[in-house]
Amino acid sequence: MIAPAIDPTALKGGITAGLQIDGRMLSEAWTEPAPERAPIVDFLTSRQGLTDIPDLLADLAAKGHELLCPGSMSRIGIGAATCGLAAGAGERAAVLSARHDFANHTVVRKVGCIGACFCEPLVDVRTPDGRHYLFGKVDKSGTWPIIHTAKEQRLQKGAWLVLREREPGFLTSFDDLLVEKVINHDLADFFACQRRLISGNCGLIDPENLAEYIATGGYFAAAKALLEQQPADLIAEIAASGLRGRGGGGFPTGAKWEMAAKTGSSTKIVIANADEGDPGAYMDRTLMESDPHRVLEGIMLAAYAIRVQQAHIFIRHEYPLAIRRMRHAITSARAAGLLGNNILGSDFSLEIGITTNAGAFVCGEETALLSVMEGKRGEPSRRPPYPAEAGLNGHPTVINNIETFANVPWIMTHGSARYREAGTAASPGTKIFCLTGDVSRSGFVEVPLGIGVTTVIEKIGGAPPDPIKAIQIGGPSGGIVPYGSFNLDYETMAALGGMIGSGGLVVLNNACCLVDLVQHMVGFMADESCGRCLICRDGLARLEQLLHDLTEHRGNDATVSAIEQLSHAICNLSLCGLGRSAVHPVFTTLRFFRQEYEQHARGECPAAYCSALIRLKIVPSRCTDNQICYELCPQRAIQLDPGRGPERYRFDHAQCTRCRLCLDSCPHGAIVAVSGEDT
Amino acid sequence: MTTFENGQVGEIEQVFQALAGTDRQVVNVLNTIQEHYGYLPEQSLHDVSRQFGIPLANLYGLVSFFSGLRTRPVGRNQIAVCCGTACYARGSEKVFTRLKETMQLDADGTSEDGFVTISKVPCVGACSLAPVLSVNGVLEGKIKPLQVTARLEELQRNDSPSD
Ligand SMILES: Cc1cc2nc3c(=O)[nH]c(=O)nc-3n(C[C@H](O)[C@H](O)[C@H](O)COP(=O)(O)O)c2cc1C
Ligand code: SF4
Ligand code: SF4
Ligand code: FES
Repeated sequence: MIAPAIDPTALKGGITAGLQIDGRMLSEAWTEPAPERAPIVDFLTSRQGLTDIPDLLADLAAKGHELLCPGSMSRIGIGAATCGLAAGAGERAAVLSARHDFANHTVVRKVGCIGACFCEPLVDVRTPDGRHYLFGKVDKSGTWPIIHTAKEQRLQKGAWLVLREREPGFLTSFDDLLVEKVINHDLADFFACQRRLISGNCGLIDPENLAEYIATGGYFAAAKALLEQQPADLIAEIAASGLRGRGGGGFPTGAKWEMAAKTGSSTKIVIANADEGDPGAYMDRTLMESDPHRVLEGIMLAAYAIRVQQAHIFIRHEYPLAIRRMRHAITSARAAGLLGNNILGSDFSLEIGITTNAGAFVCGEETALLSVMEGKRGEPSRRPPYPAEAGLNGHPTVINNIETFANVPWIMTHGSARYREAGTAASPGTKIFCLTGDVSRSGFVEVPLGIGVTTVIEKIGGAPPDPIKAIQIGGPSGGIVPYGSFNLDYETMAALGGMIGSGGLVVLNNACCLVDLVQHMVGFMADESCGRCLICRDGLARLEQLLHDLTEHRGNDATVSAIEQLSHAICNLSLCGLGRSAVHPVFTTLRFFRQEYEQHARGECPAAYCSALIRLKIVPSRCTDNQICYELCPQRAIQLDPGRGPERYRFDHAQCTRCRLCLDSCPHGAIVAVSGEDT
Repeated sequence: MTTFENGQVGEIEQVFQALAGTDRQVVNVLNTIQEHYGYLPEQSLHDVSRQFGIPLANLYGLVSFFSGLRTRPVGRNQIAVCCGTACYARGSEKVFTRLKETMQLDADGTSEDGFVTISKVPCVGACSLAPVLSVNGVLEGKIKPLQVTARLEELQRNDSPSD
């Protein structure tokens, strides 16, 4: 039996492989000349300051590099994360992969999401000269220009953006790409203000291929840590970087690790929180679907720093693709020897498991999460002790968010000083936000913390056609704040009464009724309350009812003050963060949009949204008398008087359910909802 | 994937064994069973109770805690409407109402003929395509209430009640 063995004495200076035959080391093997290193290995060595790259990684990097930047073939990368697949990427991939004429000149790969969700399906064609042609909104007929670009290796009509590798043939991150030609400004502007440190591989590499991740310098930080650094070095570096947890609270990651490292316990655990319950946030999903090995490497570095042998990823079941890709990543890392016993020949061993949640928002709260993993109902418990002191089955447990872990390999590779070049002193680094709602370019964006919200929304998201009224930030425990010139960092958001939370940014225009939206969010939190605290369970349900009274035209000024008082009580008396923060949307809207509550109390809905407070009306100047609304109304609530023209349309307001089908279906926008004096 | 022998004692042990050592939590076993049957049959809960030494009453308490777990069979098709913030702000509630009004549903959201189960889900993570519908696990974005009838008819054409 011949197997490569590792000389433990060589560990500190990199690994030297020897040949072992039936357990006997052959000394001749040591004299073998070192194999020549692939250019990518030299490139990574000089670029990222990594020396002594283990042969295992060097070999995989060379393999991955040939896949990622083929020298003689074009490579078509189809964005196949959840958003891309929902927009039809699967069919496009099937059509392109089935082409026999690609055999010698083009490879087709499924990649993750580059973040530009607004133009899914998105296809990247890389030609051997290091150019990337990006095609957005690729519909069924849109595959021809892609095929021609791959074949002829030059620009075809239909491409949106051409990027060029800074050093052609080397691609280790989105940052290695320069814009060469802008054809569609939407896509160029979307990327212009971003800094992609953490999401730099997303949409470029194949998430199911370990070698491609390694070709971008992946697992080098882990190798360096395991072979050359002490656990304390890692904790010191993370502490120096000032990295704050991305799961919502913004707790300093270094301090948390330090706390767990200090405990004397022999069994410790690391858990990656991928419950991502905040509606409107999908950064963890995108990272897991697009660059799962970065997440694993972050977990591995944390595990090494805290001297942990067991880690878990806790994923919500609504994310089947993320679960599949993380599972796949664990299996391939294990097969390559990057997980399991004595990783890379060091004395460090690690197993990573996956736990799937079954649909309960409160389980994202760390003590509730632990409860589920112990086979119990996901009810939060009182802290202290903090999980870092006594967590899963009583063992010290470090729980961090997925995005937090994804930051770690970057910091360990580039150093804390460079990390601090982005962001502010108190909020260093970059943050991923999910920009959605009434904005023309929605997607997944990575920006330095402290960036102005107007920059994110107008420069990246594109000025929307309608004026923006408010921003809903940080999920249902975040806040709703007026659109204006504030900065996105932990301190500013706290001063506004909101929270960055996990980073959802929902843009709301004047058509959105804030009282109705708050009612919806409070209702969500009431449903998700675990029920341990009476004030959280019944208080939130009652609060929803009061808000409902306003939207249903049953409220008055007393309702508004009752809402305010009850919210304070819920906030002060609840045990866990769910109850305490569930009223943030109420507080922020009462602070900034109080008049909307008062208008509802008077029976008006300024957004003309709440069914009980609106009526429908025809705008005669726009109506062409085409009868579409009349035909469509399920209630027969639109009546036609004899004659011709818009004057003959009458709404039977008693019959009308305000389903808005007529409003949506009128091609001329001749039907409008009105509220208040107009009715 | 584990193969289930319907109702056989030991199937839970099989599921349990098939999971990696680090993955052997009750919630993973429950999710795996539900993935297979679409719901959690009573017999399987008895088996889980035995395997994990959790009293049956506690296990039911656990199952009812999670909104994603069901103890009754589902329809042949499953439609879930996303009711996350982004989808809600873009009108998903109206889509849901339209679906509900078009079909006759029981308390579990299943139509009497077993054709479809309609439910709401919190954010499925495709907010840029809001409002989002999940039809038999496949996401469809930018849905308008107006399209609902046509989409249901399309499903009905491909529906075979004998399955
Ligand atoms: C109700 C509630 C839900 C939460 N949901 C999540 C979640 O989905 N993902 C997450 O990472 N943290 C969530 N948290 C925060 C976690 O409890 C914990 O602080 C976090 O995972 C720590 O990681 P970090 O330090 O990297 O941010 C939630 C907290 C509360 C109170
Ligand atoms: S605040 Fe609400 S969710 Fe948190 S423990 Fe109390 S009842 Fe449960
Ligand atoms: S809102 Fe609905 S019920 Fe009312 S008139 Fe329009 S289509 Fe008919
Ligand atoms: S809110 Fe519906 S997909 Fe996120």
